[in-house]
Amino acid sequence: MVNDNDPNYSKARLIFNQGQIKDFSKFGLEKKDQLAIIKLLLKKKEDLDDITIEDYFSASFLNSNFWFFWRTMFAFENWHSLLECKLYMHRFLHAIDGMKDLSCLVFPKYNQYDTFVTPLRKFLQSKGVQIELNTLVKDLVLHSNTDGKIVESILINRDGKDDTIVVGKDNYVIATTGSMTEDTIYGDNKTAPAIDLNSSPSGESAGWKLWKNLAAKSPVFGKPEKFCGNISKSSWESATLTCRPSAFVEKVKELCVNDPYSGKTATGGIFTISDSNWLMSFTCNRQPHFPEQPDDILVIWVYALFMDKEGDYVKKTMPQCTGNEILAELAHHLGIIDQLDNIIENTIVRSSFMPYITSMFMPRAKGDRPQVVPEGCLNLGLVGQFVETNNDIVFTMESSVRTARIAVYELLNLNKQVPDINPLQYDIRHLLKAAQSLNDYEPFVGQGLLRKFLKGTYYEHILVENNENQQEHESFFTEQLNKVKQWVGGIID
Amino acid sequence: MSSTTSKFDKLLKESKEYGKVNHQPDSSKEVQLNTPEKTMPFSDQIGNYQRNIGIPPKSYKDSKIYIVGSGIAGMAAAYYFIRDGQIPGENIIFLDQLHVDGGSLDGAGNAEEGYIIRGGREMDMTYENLWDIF
Repeated sequence: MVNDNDPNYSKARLIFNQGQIKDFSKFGLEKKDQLAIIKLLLKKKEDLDDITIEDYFSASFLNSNFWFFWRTMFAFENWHSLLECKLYMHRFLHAIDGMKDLSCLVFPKYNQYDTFVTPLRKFLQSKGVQIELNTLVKDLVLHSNTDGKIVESILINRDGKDDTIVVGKDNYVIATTGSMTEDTIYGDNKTAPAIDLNSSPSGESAGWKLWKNLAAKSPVFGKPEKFCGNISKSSWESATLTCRPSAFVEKVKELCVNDPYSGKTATGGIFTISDSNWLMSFTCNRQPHFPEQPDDILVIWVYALFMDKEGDYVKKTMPQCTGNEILAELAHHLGIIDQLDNIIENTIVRSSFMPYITSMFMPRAKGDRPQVVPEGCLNLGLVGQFVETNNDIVFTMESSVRTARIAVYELLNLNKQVPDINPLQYDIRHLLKAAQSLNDYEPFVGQGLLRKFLKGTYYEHILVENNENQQEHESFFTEQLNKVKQWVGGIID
Repeated sequence: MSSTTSKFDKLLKESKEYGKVNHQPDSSKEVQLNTPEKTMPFSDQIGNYQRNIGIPPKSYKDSKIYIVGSGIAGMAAAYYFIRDGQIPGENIIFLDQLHVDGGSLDGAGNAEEGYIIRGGREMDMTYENLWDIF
């Protein structure tokens, strides 16, 4: 593991004022917003159907550093699912204190394809697995009898020709339903992916069609249109910069924790430009990012969350911009716009507009996502980002692997469980630490009492040391008691 | 398979769990008590005990597996069919509409034409399933 030998952290998580580092040492959450987080954690999952993040949280929360960190590192938009946001908070409760400088993160050695897909494909092929590309699956033919639903055949189009694969009894079908990268539109230095967000059809393409066809057969297959039905709310664009040395590389170097050519942690995760209209972020992961990448090249990745806003320097939306215009907007925000020609000359841009990239974050209700093995299905498992799990989150490889594992265990009825998510959220140390860090290490209610109680015991270390150093005075206990009362009052009001 | 488990047949026949395992226990609902009925680990009691690779209850060596989509989810399914289901790799066929495997996990290009990654992965050490494979 790379992180074992090279810690990940950032020294410039937030950038503003054309290239200045903005103080990112605090979450800056008001008391009422901390309380809102606690109340959200207490809420039952079943009570959050179809509610958005902005329905629930206040403007002060949505403008806090905390939310800037959160939404940019995970790609949450304010109009996304509050339930999913809650599940993220439980899933990463142990990591919250590391979300300011991103010291909570682990990055792969190379890019996602060379690190994960290539070795896994090679392993599978070494076992004899066949991969038929250019083969579109249009629909599954289901037969229902008293036992349940069986996939009888698969309707495909292989290299332009329609065909049918007979499945039959004792055989199994696994299908990834929906696709976050379906219909990606590419651009380059001189071409914009240009798309009209308002008039483009949503969810018409093949990657969504299979799920839609299944959903038309039975409600057990959920409601795909909840996720693919509104690309203005599920899209964003990224750009990959292939950089020869330039003024841009020099500026990035200045903001990195190590020399990016050293192979060590560079930016340590994304830098977010907090005063960018597009809400643009970029990252230089450990280099080389590709196994064959030449030594003088850096591969840097840029993305933005707001697709309908004009830039601050380029008066266009990001999807309307060519790669060179994206470089101009980035150069402006880094205070190096005067060296734009040098940057353009030395930087290759390949952009990707992805209409459905956050479709799995869209507000949802119970039943919108099918079960991994939908009710009654005997030989069909659904996997990926658009199926139900008890407590796991979407937009991770982990949930893709989890759903796959559940599908196999259930279909073959193995005598084996897929354990639920790591239980760190129930660990008193992480609960206390989360409370402390959300409060920017100002003592939380009852903290002084707890520290006194634990002092000199086996459990002394469970409360993180901070600058609290109680200004002890006579009314100490009364004060603590009042704080507890206020806090409890806040929870049950 | 049956020869390796035959000595335990009687025990398995009387087991309350065998063939009836809850494959995805829910930690947000489970009251974690040790009782005379409890045999499996708690829902989120992760660790080496949970990583044991059991023997499938019957042979699936003649089952064919069709996997639609060659992203990480489909590939992980193939991995577990082989590792835990003991299904021969030759029985597994991927069907993918694209000309390249990997689904959303892309990464291509070169220094002359430019590299491209539509996204990158930031990860956590608690990914019990991902780290089970990699």
